[in-house]
Amino acid sequence: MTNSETPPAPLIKVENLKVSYSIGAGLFASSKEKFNAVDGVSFEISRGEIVGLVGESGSGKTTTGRAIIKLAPVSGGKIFYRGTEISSMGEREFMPYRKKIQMIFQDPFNSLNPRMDIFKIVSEPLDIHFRGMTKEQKRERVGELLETVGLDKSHMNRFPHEFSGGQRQRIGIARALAVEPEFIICDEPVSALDVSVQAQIINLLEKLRKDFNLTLLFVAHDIAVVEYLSDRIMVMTRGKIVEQGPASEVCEHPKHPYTKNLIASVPKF
Amino acid sequence: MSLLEVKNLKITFSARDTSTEAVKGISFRLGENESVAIVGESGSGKTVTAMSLTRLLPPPPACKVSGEISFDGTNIGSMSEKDLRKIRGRQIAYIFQEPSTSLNPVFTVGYQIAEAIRLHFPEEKNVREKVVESLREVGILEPQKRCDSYPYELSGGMQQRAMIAMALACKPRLLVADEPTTALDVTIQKQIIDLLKSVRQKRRMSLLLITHNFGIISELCERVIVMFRGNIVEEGACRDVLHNPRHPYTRALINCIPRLGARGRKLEPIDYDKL
Repeated sequence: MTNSETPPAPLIKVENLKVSYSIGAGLFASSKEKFNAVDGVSFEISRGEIVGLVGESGSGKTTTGRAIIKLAPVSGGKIFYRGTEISSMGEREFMPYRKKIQMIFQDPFNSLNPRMDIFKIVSEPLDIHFRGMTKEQKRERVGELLETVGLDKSHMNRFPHEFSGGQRQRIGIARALAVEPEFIICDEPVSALDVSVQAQIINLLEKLRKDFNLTLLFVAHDIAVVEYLSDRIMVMTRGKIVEQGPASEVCEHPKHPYTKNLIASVPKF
Repeated sequence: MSLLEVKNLKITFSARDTSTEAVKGISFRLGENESVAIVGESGSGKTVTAMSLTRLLPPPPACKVSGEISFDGTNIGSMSEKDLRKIRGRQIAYIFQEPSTSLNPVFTVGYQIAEAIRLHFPEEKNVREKVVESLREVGILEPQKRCDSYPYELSGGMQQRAMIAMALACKPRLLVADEPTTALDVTIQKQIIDLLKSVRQKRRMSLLLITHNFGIISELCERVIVMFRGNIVEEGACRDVLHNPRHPYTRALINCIPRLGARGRKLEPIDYDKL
């Protein structure tokens, strides 16, 4: 068969992605100006890879991640998932992909609903994507997930305020894992944490990648963290990817002046 | 004589039926024109130590502070509120972690800086000029214009610069910087560190840097104090502690920082059972 000769389609392929927001628009006045938060970005991610996306705040790295799961409005370009275009899909068609692509957010204090207990938080995605599950099955699954991320089964009856920042981030990770995703977008998952807790979460992500053959897009501003975890690094500034390559290559021989600046900013001792 | 001297400081927080000793009897001193870092994780008691220096903690019974804190020879603990106000901001100024929550969103940045100047220098005529000058000193472009900006119109890095301008406006002798760069990007963090470094040299001001990140102290501080669960576990010159940590906790804290070019070296989270 000729088909087997061609390499498999990358898990995620982004072509010339653009996200623009109007500026200066009022309630009635339509805006004349556009701000391109993401300005023509293209990349591919293969299955099982961890790709780091670095840049400072305002560089468009978070927006790029969010655009993939339709949390940011795509104004141009295409996004493919295993060769199928997902950027032009309607909400209903896109639903199955929401199961395959999950997200972990930056601030574990704002991304967990304070009124829900941990069982409710982690099982909520199951209510949507695994409708047939009984309550007992859900409890079992949530317990299993909590143990996977290094928490205890008995924690499911507690509320978010009873946990530390690092534990909350683990809960966020358990929620993302609940629907057995293939691809997880991690939006600055460790920037709000202490260095010691940061190390725990990084090691957890690394372990999960191995155990579940996950693919990760790791968005962060600290290139030292990104280098540690990623196979490949993409450097973004002002809405554009200015450099990409294998992690060690980008960090040891940066080509773009912006990458050099990022590396120079990492504290040395 | 040292500028600041803390002896056997204990801080206890009491709730309805439990009490927690956050700081368990620590002593340290800080010289004139010296820069010292207190490093520890969240919960180590470093922030409450910093806050106790000008009695910013809630009054008893919620929080009990014992021990002796003397600043320039005067005992802070026995001072009246009125005298304390002359120390706060004027002698000991603070920069806090999250600039967006420490600035008042409904006043312009210039107004908030002017407030401090008016309080401590009532005879000052050209307050606005002073404000503009202080903004210029911290590297804010077009300070005349930025003076009238509201906090939301500034980026995180600029807000932190404005906070530093506010702290420096009254020419304090000791600046307490509580996690000044934790909420910022690494590139901005570098800028803020460089700024603090140059201000310190120019002003000949003492600095107490509170942080959880060992990475940022070597550029800014001469001495470091490592705190763990309310105790000081190690103290010494920055270089010695960073390269030759003696206490296992210090070693663990240094080992869990990801460094560039150290791929393959496993990051080791702190194993608390061993400590």
